[in-house]
Amino acid sequence: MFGYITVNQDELKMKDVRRYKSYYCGLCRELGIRYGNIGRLTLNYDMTFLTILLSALYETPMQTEKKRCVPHPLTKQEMLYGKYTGYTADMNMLLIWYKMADDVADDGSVKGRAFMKAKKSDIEKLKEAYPRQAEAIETKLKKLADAEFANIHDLDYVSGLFGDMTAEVFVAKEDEWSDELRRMGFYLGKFIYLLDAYEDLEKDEKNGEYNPWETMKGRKDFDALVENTLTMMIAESAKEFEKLPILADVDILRNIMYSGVWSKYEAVKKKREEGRK
Amino acid sequence: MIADPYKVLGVDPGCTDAELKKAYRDLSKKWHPDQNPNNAKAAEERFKEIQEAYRQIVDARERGTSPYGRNPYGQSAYGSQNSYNNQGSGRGYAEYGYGSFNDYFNQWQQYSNGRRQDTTESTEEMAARNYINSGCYREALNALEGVEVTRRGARWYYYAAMANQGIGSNVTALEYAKRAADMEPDNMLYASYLAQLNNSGNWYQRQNANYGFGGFGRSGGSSWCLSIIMLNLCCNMMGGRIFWC
Repeated sequence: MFGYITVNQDELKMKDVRRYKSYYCGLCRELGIRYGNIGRLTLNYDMTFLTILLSALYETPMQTEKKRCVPHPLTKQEMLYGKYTGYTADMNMLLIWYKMADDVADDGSVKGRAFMKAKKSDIEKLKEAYPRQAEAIETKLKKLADAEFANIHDLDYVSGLFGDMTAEVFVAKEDEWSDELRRMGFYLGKFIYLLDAYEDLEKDEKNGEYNPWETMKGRKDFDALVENTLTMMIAESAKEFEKLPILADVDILRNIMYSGVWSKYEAVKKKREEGRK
Repeated sequence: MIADPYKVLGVDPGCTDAELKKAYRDLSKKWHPDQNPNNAKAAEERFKEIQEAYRQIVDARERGTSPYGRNPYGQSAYGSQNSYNNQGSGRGYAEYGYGSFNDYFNQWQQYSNGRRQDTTESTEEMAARNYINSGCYREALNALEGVEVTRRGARWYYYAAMANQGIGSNVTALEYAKRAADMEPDNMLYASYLAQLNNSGNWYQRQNANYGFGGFGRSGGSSWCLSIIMLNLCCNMMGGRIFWC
């Protein structure tokens, strides 16, 4: 996905940084096992976050393995994985599949076509295994593409569609925590969508492409507006997070929710400010 | 509502959030129906009670001890009436309620009860208000759409804000709440609703401070981030080739 939901390493204890990395490596391992090299290429921080969240909530038994791998051929890497690593690896593929389908429909993406051809049978199995999530991802992404094509600038509407999608992905199974997970995923999805759009503002303007922020970017208080809107979203998501009875890895998760998610925003904001000078 | 939720969980009312969560985890593990195949029904009762007690305390702590439940969505304000427990009632996932009105709900209730004598409220607004009370926010918005744009006053914006908050459209909710407050600046109800909406940002900042984060993730990139970037570049460059691992 986008890589916004990550840690702020400077504010995290070394042992937690190592543990975070081992979750990341664990996900890479799982993607490789299930989906080969193409699978590994889709590794991202956002799904790593979901792995940690669900593993911590359900306190599932985790396993470790220490191995060398291609990007790290000299030192063995610690890989931490469990039941939900498999879930997030599967969700990752579903998300990327539908994104690729979108790209192909949009501009006949060659990369998209190649991906879809390679992973077709895997995706059929995933659709069968996770009908609720697959349906949500497919329908919401389609509605989002339509909305963007129709130039709808209602921030709640467009980011909400993305949020509806992430909400379903956050719910691995229907249980007593479904509501909190859905709300947490919903607002986090809105945050991601709007932050991604904020990052793409210049690029979209240059290419004459749709951007949900475009009708507001001329405002004097635009920067404050963006920051307030993003804060609103992450605050609602964090509120739901705090309701979950999570004890394990809570320092890592809090670092991400309260600090890490802003790293990219700060970088983009700085670049814009420098561009203005 | 459980009279003494702390007793159910076996914790002191002054316990920390971590202590609360630990107590919940231990008890729910013990009483999970799967763990008690011999008396599944009794275990399930206990399990639900533990759930409810936990939720009650968590909600009260979020609000600061208001006795009202967090989401006015369609049934009694408390009890574990989430969408999971209501699977049979055919509620779509979108209906579990996004807006947490929390202790504001108290003020809303008082306001709502006062409308009975108010003849200035239009039929559409009355319908919307009733829908909001039952947590049917989309229906509330549909009802409000029936009011011509030129006839939309502060009250219309106030109801529309509440309904939008209920469906998770918090940007629109804030915008409409501001409009209502602007249209009637002396209206304390609208002002306090707007304040409540702005409050979640303040809560988040306080959390930031509590957990010792210096502002929003201010770090100008780090060596580890760079190495991850290199890793991604590396992986991308190797796309398609067969590896030994």
